Formats: sequence, C-alpha cells, structure tokens
Amino acid sequence: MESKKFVKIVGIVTIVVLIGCSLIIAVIDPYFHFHKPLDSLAYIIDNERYQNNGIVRNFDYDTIITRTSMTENFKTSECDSLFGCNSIKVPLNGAHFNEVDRQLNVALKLNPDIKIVFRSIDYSMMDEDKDIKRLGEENFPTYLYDDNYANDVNYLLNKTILFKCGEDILYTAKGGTTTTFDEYVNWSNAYCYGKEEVLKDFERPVRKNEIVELSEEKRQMVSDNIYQNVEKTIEENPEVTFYLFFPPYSILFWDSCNQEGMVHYRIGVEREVIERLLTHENVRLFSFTNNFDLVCNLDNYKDAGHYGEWINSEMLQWMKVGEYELTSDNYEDYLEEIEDFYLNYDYDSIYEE
Amino acid sequence: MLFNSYIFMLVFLPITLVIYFAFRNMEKHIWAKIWLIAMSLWFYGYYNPSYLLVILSSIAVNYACSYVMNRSRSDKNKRLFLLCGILFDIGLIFYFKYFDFFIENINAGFGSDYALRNMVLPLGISFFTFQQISFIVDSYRGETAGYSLIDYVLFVTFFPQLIAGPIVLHSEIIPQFNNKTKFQVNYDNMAEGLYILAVGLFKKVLIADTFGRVVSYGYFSVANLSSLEAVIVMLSYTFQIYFDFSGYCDMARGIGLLLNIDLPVNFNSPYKAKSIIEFWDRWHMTLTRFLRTYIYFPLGGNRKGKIRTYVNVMVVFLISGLWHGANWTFIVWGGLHGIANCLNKRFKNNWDKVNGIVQWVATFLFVNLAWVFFRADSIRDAIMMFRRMLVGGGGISTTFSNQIMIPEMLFLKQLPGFNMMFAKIPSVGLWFLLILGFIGVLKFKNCNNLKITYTWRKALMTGVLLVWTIVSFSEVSIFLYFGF
Repeated sequence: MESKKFVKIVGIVTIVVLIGCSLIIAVIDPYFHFHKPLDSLAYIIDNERYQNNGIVRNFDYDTIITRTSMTENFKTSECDSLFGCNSIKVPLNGAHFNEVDRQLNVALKLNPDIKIVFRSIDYSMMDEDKDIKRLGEENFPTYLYDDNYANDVNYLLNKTILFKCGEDILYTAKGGTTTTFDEYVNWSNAYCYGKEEVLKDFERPVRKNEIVELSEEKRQMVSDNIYQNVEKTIEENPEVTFYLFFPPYSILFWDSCNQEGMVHYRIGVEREVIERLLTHENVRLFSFTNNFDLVCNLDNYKDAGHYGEWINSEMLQWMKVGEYELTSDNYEDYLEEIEDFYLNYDYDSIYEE
Repeated sequence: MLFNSYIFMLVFLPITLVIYFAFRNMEKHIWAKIWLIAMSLWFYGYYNPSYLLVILSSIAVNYACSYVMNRSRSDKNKRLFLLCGILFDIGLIFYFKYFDFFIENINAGFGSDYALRNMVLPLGISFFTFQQISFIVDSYRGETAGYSLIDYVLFVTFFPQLIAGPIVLHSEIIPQFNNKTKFQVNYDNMAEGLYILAVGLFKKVLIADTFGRVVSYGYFSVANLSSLEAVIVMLSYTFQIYFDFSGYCDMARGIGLLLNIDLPVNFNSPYKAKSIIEFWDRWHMTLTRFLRTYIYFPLGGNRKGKIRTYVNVMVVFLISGLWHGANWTFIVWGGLHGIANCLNKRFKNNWDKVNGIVQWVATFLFVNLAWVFFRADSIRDAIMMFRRMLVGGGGISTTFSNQIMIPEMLFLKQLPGFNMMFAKIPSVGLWFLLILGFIGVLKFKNCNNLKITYTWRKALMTGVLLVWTIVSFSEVSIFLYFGF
C-alpha cells in the first residue's frame, strides 16, 4: 500500500468512527442533555450530578423534590397521589445549599409549570458560608450545565458515556425498565437499621463543659446563606409553593450536640432560619424534630442522621395534612419544646444495654 | 494547551497542518513560519496568556545578546553578552521556579519569615531556558550567524517541543525549516507521524494515566499502605513516568513528522539498560546531551583527574535533579543518580563482567528506588514509603486495586469469562496492568527506528488507537460523598 492511501484510511476511519460515536450518544442521550428519554429504550438513572440537569431541563413535571440524601428515599408515586401532581426527584447527595439552589433555579426558569417544590433544610448546613464549595467540585461536568455547545464535545466523544449507551441498550434487551423516581438513588433497602447498626460506626464526642453561643458573626452567616440560597428563589417565584422541612436527625445527632455544648447553638440557628422563612406567603414550613418517638427510635435509622424510606413516606403524609407545620403562632413554643427536650434527655441511656 | 485534548487533536492540529502546507505551496515561506509561530504561541498561552509575556521577553533578550555577539569583534564584548544572556536565563527560571524554594529554606535555616511569592510557573520554562542557553553559548562560539529573527523565534516556540522537549539544538532544526525538500506534504512522513502520534497518545492517556491513579492514591496516604501495596505503588510510578514521558516524546516526534520536521530521538527503551550510564544514554537523551555539552565538558569532563571527574559528575546530576523540580526530593534523586554514576564509572570493568540479568535487575531496582524520591512530596514521605515496604504487612485492599478500574476494566469485568476471574482474584486487573507494563518496557520495539509497513491492519490499528484515546479525554466522575 502507498503511504498516501495509509494516511487516507487512517483519516477516514478516525473521522467516521468519531462521528459515529457522537451520533450514538446524541441519539440515545443517556444523560438527557439534548432530549427526553426515548420511548423505545429503558434508561438506568443513577448519577445525580450528571443526570439531574438533563432531567430538570427535558422531563415533563410540575413538582420537584430535591436536596440531599435526606430526600433521596422519597417516592414520587406517593407524592403524586397525595398532592395530585406530576413530580420528579432530583436530589444531590452531599450538596450545600448553593448547589441545590442553582439546580432549582434552572428548573424554575425553564419550566413555567412548576407549582410545588419540596426541599429539606439540613441542620448541618444551615450555618455554612453561602458560597461554600464542595470537595471534588473541580471534577464537576460544567459542560452539561452551561449553554456552550462547543464543550459538549466532552459529552459526545466520551468513552464512559458510550459505555453507558451500551449498558442502557443491554438493559433494555434484558427487559429492564427505565428507573422510576421512586427507585432513583433510593438507598433505603441497601442498609440495615437499628441501634446496633447505628452505634457501630458512631463515635461519641468527648463531653465538653461549655455552652456554645450563637455569635453575631455566625448569625449573619446563617442569614446570608438562607437569603442567597433559599429565600431569593422563594421571592422570585411567588406562584410556587415551597414545602420546606427540617429533617429528623436521630437522637444521636442531638447527643453529639449535647456533648459539645451545641444544642443551644443549633436551636438558635434554627430560630434564625424559621423567622426568615415564615415571612414568605408561599412557604409551608415543617419540622419533625419534635416527633420524639420517631427521633428516639433508632430502628428508624441506619446511622446518626439517615432514616429509612418509611419516614419519607410519613413526612409526605404529614405535610399533606399540615401536621408538624410551623407557623408564626406556634414556632416559639416549638423551639422551647425541643430545646427543653434535647437539653435534658438522658443520653447515657442510649448506650446502656 | 495539551496534546491530549479535544481542542488540540480536533481543531489545532488540522488547522495548523492545512494552513502551513498551503503557505508552503504558495511559496510564501515567511508566512508559513509566521503561521507556525502564531499557532505555537496560541498553544503556549492557551491556559494562561500571561505566560506569553515571559517567553517573548526571554526570546527578545536572548536574541539580542546573540545578535550582538555575532556582530562583535571584541572577545571581551562577546564574553560580556554571553554572561548577560546566561545570567538572565538563569535569573528568570530562578525567579519563577526556585524563588519560593529558596525562601522556604532561608526561613527554615534562619528562622526568618520572608513571604513566598507563589508565582505561577510558566509551562516549559525549564526547556526553553536550556534551549536558549545552548543557543547563546553556540553564538559565543560563532556558530549561529545567519539565522534570522523569525528562524530563532520559531526555533524556541515550535509547539511540538515547547512544553516538554526534546531539547533541540539550533543546528538540528533551523536548517530543516529552510530545507526545500521539506516544503511539500510528504505522505511517508505523514503516515509515520500519524502512527507514532497514535501510539504516543495511547501510552500517555490509557497506560500512564491509569498507573497514575494507583500512584496518586498511594502517595496520598503513604502511612496506610501495606508492604505489597507500597511495592506496587513504586512499580506503578516507574511505569507511569516511563509511559508518560515516552508517550510525550512519541507525540512530539509524530507531530513534527506531520510537518516534515525530524525531532531528535529522546527516549530509547531505557528500562532495558544494564547500567546507570547506559540508562542515561537512553532516558531523556537530549537532556543528557545538553548537560554533557554545556556543563560537564566546560567543567573539564574527565580530563582533570579522577577526583575532579567525580565532582563534575555530581555537579551535573545535582543540577539535573534541581532542574526537574524545586524540592529537596529532586536534589536527592539527582544526587543518588550521581553517586550511582560515579560508582559505575569507577567499577566499570568489574560491572561488565557481571551476569547480564543481574546487571539488569540491579539497574532496574536502583532506578525504581530512586523514582520514589522523585515522586514523593517530601523526603519524609519517601522514607515512609520505604518503611511501608518493609513493615506494612500483607494484602491489597479493595479500594487500592479498584483504582485501576477504568471504564474498559469495568466493562471487561461484566463479561462472562472475566467476571469469574475478578470474583476469584479481585486485584487481577492490577496484576494484568503490571504485567503489561513489564512487557511494554522490555519487549516492544520503540518508535524510533520504525520501518512501518503500510497495511490495512496497521492503518486500522492507527485509527483505532486515535479514536480510543480521543474518547478517553473526558471522564465521568462518580461523586462518592455521602454527607448529611
């Protein structure tokens, strides 16, 4: 063969295969970057940061359930039948308030049909810096989130995504069905629950004999965080109802707080957040922290913070009927109730056999 | 810019080639060179345009010194400008690369508290510094008269060798830019160039970077490694740096060939070496050449007695170490190679009588151990790595062996025959890769004296390698964070 022919063959093979690869990915579109899932294919949905954005942009829905692992076990089928809506669930595990807010804003800007948003207000993140960055953020697929078509080459000429296309095809061939939102990132059945399980990996902090106060600086941080990453979106979307809730961390979380003298602080932070959120007409605010039976029953938990899916189901039902709702009339009593309980609980009894 | 990126392979390279040969075809040779310079500057300044200020000012000063020297008749004048040029080059690299290291040591030694400047290191500054020093010295010797400014700028900025070498001599490249026979597209060169480029990309993106995952994991938490893991990390780095550098040299050569430019061979299966002296004749050959020509020989080489020879060797290797990085680890690495080199020189006759396999094992082992210093973030980490090899205990953790589970491995794992293998031996992928590493460095012929046969098989293989690496430029990260 002549070298010229060699060069031609290499060139043609390379170009044809690369174009073929892009076409496969563009048509199947496993991350829904360009379009909804194809009807003829079953898709495995399991990668939040890569697929949520596509879901939010291209799926049909009028209700969003989002936040962190605190919301991953919600079942949209239950939500739909209780609230008469068509919901999607797009949690981002480990996300700070700002990351979730960013995603929410994309949805709200693109989808005028949204009427309800469910969002947890996690205790551990309320007092963070409003612009905090998550570990590993440098690996974030910004090309999926921006409007720059040129960098979509990262999506179209991507071996891993090509493999995902193959996986989805095989999955369809084996008779699989597209992951439902009930199943999506639902980890409830993957773990064991109960006292033994929870205490296994739990390290009780050493008792400190001090009470941590909520400083003015910290209060301002909370205020800025809630305003920029929660309230602003609420204000800008008065037609949407925001169901916000404080997720019920287990009694072990409160034990840690108590050991470190942080109970008063945490409740101070919560007060700040409640007072801000209750000023909005389109907010329904809930807290299950005073459901002491739930919180103290470690059979509900797999570790100090994470509860099983039956708790998510119960929360949906309570939110539907308005139980555990916080209003400007009752929140002071509520705060007093939980501070009293969590300051005086007999935590040592947890560790006795 | 990097060779292994979408923009380079899909945009930069095609446009550069097409327009370059178009200019040559139209006999607009000055434009052809200016085009290459412009593209090279885009390549260099892509991630950080401020780098351009550094390289352009460096070029300006060096060319000015060389210009004066070429027109000067006074020896004293020539020496003055030689000194100016060299001092400027060293000063520039000192400022950007070594200033903070210098200050840290002053602070540590004298308890002072001088502020670090945290300069961003301009890419390739080590390379274009050495390249220009060699030019300045040759100008002093009267060897560079007749080169135009454009030729000089192209010589320094030529993008295939700008960021990571080879360190090219003016005499081996500038004449090529002016050689009529190279102005037309040459399909033999294109074919060879494409093949070498494809192989180089594959070595870097699929092999070196995969080993790199094990290495990063290992050096991130040295204290937790078992003995076996520590040894595997050491071996993995030995392979990573080999395939990375070898891949890069191949890519540079391949791209040069596409443009009909022959870049010097820089890498010649160095892990086949049976002595340290031989190792350095095979590893980073143009660096060895530079150090020998511009430092070792001017210091007297081996012509001033035994002791002086050893001193000269140590000076060369310590400079080499420091040139690689601003950290004591590099200096130790250089020093170790220097000592080994001296011993090799001293006992050459005895060594030559030793059994070939023993020679190879000893050399390979030494090179492995020395690389630990090269890679570790600190001397403490390097010593800790050695300790772990001795006291770490057995076993390989699953997280460790999972580091190499690139998409291809994950896919293999799902196939019928392979899933049983993975179930029985979880770390089978890792062993497979290590064996592949050994075969790669010992068995395969390198890309240097290729006589490629133009067959369908080779063409398809070249295409497959190119496509395979291009679709590997982007990864999908799995976010494993599971917080509240």
